Amino acid sequence: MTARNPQTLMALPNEENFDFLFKIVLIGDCGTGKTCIVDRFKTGNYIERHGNTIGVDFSMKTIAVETKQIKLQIWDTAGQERFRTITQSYYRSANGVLIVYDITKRSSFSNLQKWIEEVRRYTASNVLIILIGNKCDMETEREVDFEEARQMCQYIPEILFVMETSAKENMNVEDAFRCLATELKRQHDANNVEAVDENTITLGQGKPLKSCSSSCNLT
Amino acid sequence: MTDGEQREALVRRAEDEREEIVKRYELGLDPTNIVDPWENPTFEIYHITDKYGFMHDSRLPTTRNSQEMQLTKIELERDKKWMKMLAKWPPPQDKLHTRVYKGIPKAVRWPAWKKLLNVDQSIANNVGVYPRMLQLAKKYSTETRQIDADVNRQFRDNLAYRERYSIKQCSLFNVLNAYSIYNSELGYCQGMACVAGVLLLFMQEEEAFWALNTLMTDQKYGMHGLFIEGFPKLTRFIDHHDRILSKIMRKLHKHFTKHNVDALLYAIKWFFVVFVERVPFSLSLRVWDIFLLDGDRVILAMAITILYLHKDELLRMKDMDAIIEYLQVKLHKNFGYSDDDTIHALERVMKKLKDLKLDAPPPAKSNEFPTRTLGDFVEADMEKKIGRRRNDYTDTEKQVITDVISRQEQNAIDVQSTVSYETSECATGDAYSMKTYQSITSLATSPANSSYSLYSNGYVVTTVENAHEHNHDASRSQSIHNLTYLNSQPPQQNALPNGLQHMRHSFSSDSDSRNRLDLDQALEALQKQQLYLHGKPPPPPAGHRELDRGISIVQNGGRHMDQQHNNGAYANVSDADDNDDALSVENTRL
Repeated sequence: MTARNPQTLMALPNEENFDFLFKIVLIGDCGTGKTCIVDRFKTGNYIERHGNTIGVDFSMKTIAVETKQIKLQIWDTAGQERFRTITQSYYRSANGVLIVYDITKRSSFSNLQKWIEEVRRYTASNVLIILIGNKCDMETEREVDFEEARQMCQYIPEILFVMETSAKENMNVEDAFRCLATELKRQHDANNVEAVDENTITLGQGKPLKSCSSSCNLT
Repeated sequence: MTDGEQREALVRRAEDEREEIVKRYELGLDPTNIVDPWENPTFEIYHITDKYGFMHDSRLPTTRNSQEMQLTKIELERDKKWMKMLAKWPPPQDKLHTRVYKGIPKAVRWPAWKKLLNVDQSIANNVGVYPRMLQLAKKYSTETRQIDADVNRQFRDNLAYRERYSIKQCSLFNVLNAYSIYNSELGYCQGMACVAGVLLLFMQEEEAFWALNTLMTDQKYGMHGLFIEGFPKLTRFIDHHDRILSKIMRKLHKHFTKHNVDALLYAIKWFFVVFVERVPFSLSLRVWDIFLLDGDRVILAMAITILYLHKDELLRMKDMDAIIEYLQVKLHKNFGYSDDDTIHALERVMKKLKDLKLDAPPPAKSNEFPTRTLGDFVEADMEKKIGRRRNDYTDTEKQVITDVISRQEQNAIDVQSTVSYETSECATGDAYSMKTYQSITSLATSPANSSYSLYSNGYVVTTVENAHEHNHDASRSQSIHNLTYLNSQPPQQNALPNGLQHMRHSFSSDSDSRNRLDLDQALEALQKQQLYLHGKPPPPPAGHRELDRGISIVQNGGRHMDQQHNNGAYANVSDADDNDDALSVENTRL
């Protein structure tokens, strides 16, 4: 299939080879490390001296999932509340959302509810959300237990899974994106099947964590 | 211990110290002679730090070429002239103008910026205010958490700011914290840390506070309107930026539209912090010099200058990723033009925009300036004190969301018409038909791409069959006439599970009618422009002057319109594409 621009649905005038294009948005409180996560994923580096993100930053990376090239369009948003009016418009056509909190800052976890509500309001119903607890290298300063985050997720069906990462120590960052991409592709494949036979009801769409890349540490 | 004993002990200590030092010199370069890294010239920071205190990834050149030596000589001369000028302030306007455009020498930036921003006057008029604000802020500011987070990452690559709780970090924190109380309506917005951070590189704490206040509240700079909730000035400036682009750099504008490069993506940072961290620091200081002299229209002109200077590169790039990376990262590292050349170009762009009457955006509304009295202390409400994110949206916020969304939709429509035109242009003889379009919709790369997620209000714009038209102009203009609503009902009504309907797009009903209105207006505007092209075109005001110089806007434009007329084709605004250069700054050789 030709790759298409998610906003216009037009075929992209791009020679680059990829089979799918998904739009991923990173949101979450200020200073949770969204930009560091994106940079780690994109360039493999950790940059300690990041400025703040004003408005929205944008980057792309193509990864291979099950022989398919998946291009991820990554939108890194400003965390300050005042910018939500601008950043929200970028959720609308998102396929996946990474909500990032900081495991060493309780407040960033408490605000998750608000972030999730914003996502519910402004994205398509089938958007996939994953929850990221960043800075898990700072164990001694931990204020949010992983178990607590996991329990919260059980009450929020839209969240596919929760995962702790460290952009600094390069833990799970690639996996988070990879799992999301894999799941998006699966969802897309399933939908295509559905389109062929509308009477088929595909069960268990919401799902299998273990089917994500084996290296993920999901539980 | 007696006095005598104490003295004796002191003498002994001095002797030991002397012995220690002498021993070290006797050891000389012996490896057992341990020294701190900073004591040697090999200390890396010395080699990677530039004259503004910024540390770079690699070593800077150790020798200066003759050109740089020449520049230093010139700068020393300028220092003297500036010292004289500063002593007899205010200088004649034209003299000041010339000198500022040549660049304020680094050595006199401190006094010069203070003069331009009227800092000493402000301090004299507000004795005691700053310390009071600082005290109040320590107790009551609700922005402290955000400010702290941003101070910790502002200019981390600069010697003055890199150490946590260094003097400059503390000053930055104090200035922003105090200002959030002084201008309580504005509070603190990300981006202000950068503005204050630049000021503090050249000023003392209290000076920077008043300089910041002038930048925010003075009519000339009006940055309050950029940072206040709803960002009214940002919207106004971006609209005007688009207007300029569409008039004088049509090709690039279309190119950006086609690749979804919304001006919001690159211009927020440009406008909010006046190009700091988006162009090399030395260049951004030159722009600041001029900004402080001439006010906010410099920002618009600089944006156009950057795009103009890099137009060819940008046009070669074939995806959004590359374009944004270029504008956000590459230009910061290496601008590709010398500061002087860039400023010359900026000067000419400013003149050109003035000639075309495009230099000034529409006037600011009252919401861009403070309505509360500055310095009046207002205690924050409970939610703000706790620092929770708000659930509901103010009317201003709703308006902004609607505006941003309709802007994106308008872009999507523009792309649509561009692409359908290009398809027919490819002489496939088969332009987009309704059917093709629908199949595209259903073939979206992913589930969320289905139409309802694209257009929350459920309208999909499409071009109805006009496939076998061979006259491109006609087919295209028709395609614009034929923009229709695919569905009269927002499809998500059916697509969403019942329970979710009210949660999503909670004010979608407003935005429905609004967007429909916008679309209608857009169509009307397009049609009007077509009529306008058919009717007698009022020559651009600057036309005559241009004619004299033999580079004619009117001539080119006029000829173009004649052709249109002869062909009897329905002219479309974007038909002028081939004529891009006729209307453009670029043709008049900057």
